[in-house]
Amino acid sequence: MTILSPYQRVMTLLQGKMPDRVPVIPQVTYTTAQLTGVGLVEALHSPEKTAEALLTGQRELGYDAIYVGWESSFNLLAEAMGCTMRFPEDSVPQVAEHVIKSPDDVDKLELPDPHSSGRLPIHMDMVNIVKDAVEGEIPLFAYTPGPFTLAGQLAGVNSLMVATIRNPQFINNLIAVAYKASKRYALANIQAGVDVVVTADPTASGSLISPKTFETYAAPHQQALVDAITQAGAIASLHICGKTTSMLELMAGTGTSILELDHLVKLTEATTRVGNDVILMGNLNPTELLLTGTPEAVEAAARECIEAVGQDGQYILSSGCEVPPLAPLANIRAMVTAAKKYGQYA
Amino acid sequence: MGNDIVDQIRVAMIDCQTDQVLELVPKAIDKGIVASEIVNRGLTAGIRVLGDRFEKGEAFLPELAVAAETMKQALDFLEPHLAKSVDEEALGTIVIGTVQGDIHDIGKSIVATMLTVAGFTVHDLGVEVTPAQFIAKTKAVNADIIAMSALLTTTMDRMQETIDLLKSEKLDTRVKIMVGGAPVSQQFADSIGADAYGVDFNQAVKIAKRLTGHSND
Repeated sequence: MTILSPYQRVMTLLQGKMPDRVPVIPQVTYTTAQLTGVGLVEALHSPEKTAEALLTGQRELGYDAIYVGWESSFNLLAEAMGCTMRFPEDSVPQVAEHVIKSPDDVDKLELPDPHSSGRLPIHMDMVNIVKDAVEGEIPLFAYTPGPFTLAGQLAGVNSLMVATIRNPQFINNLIAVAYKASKRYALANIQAGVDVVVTADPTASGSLISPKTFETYAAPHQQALVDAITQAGAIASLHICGKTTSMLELMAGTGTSILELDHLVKLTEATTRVGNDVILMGNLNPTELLLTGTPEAVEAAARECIEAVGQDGQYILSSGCEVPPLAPLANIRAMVTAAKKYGQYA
Repeated sequence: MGNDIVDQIRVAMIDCQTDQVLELVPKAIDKGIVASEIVNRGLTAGIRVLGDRFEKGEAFLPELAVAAETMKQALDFLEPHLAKSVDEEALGTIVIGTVQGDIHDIGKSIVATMLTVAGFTVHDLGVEVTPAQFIAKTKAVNADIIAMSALLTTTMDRMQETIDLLKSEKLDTRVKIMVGGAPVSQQFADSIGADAYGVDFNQAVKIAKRLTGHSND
């Protein structure tokens, strides 16, 4: 079989057909700063520098898609909606003060405009630069926050958790606004040429909340986002970190095309339970393997994943979660090597 | 009668009935029940049940967050009644905080609360704690353990810096280091030279007891 371009490879898979080999898409963003020497923090304010790092990463390491992101989408949106941010000298920004201090504050929230609010325009510019450089050659993945997670950024995770028990009405009101913000941001990314929108909902992890809380507060809004993304002509992916084994059917039930799984979920179990409904993506351990492991260990673990669930298509080799900034690039190369060595379909 | 009300407190903690707990605690004091019994057989016993359920995947962060908040409020009320006994019984002194650059508070605070109710004297330095702040406080209170939390792969390397500083101050033979947080693992803890890693607050309490020689395990 002829060797496909990354775009052809991923799109063939998404159409339910067999590409030339297993696609490999590590969740790499600011790790690529190692290649261009740009400072992780320095790059935050420069769409040119982040775009250059992301493009260089794909070119040098050869994986099959670019995650157009530098810091988390939920922080960018939280900032654009009024949260005060803290900018550590050597780490990504974090929410310092939540905009929602009491249930009454929800009424004051304004929907952010991706083209003018906060630092969202920096993100949009970065997407445009990357798109112009690789359109039709490399697929682009971009995150939008799961409304449950964005609500946690706006009000504080502790308040969110307490309110799921003590003040459901408050949480429902807040999540409804968060959903609108996430949807608007997702659609702006699609308009800018993003191919796959990943709804990232780490606070809705099975490590933190019960399947019942997930079903009540997280899943319906994820499903609505998946619908909106699909209707806008893009592919939907769902990313939830941590232990999600108890929620596999609920996650697949959102209608997402791709389901990203963290290293705590067994791929073989996931493929048995929901493998007919979604394309599975994952799930190498980001810290124990990709940060502190050897290339040999990474290649062996990647091979195991491919042999376990990657024999019949329906699978993308990836990390379980975002790759740490200081992960050795040799470990990412080892993932790509494994996909080429052990993932051939032809 | 007295036992009944302490048991009601325990059950109300398990059921996340904050208002009920805060109503029952003053009543128990009025009835002459000693504060330490309210804490041990009421509040702590209840939160332990939730902790066990959390380990088994039967309780989750919302329940723990409500219970920790309730515990804090109840302890605020009980503090004047407890003050005398705490120092005598303290299992050891712990300095706890989330590392520099990281503002994740919730897990660390639950661990701090549980270490306190287990009988440790706990100094919670909050979030974004620098290595120098960890060491200065450790010296000031003559701490036995430094407990560090990190929730980001970009900040977990900060733990190493505190350990290095502890070594350069020649305190590492006396002061133990325990670490935790979502991206942290036993392997990572070993690689930076930490004494122990805990996956959740139940383990954190067990580890702290072991490190201070109070373990029965």
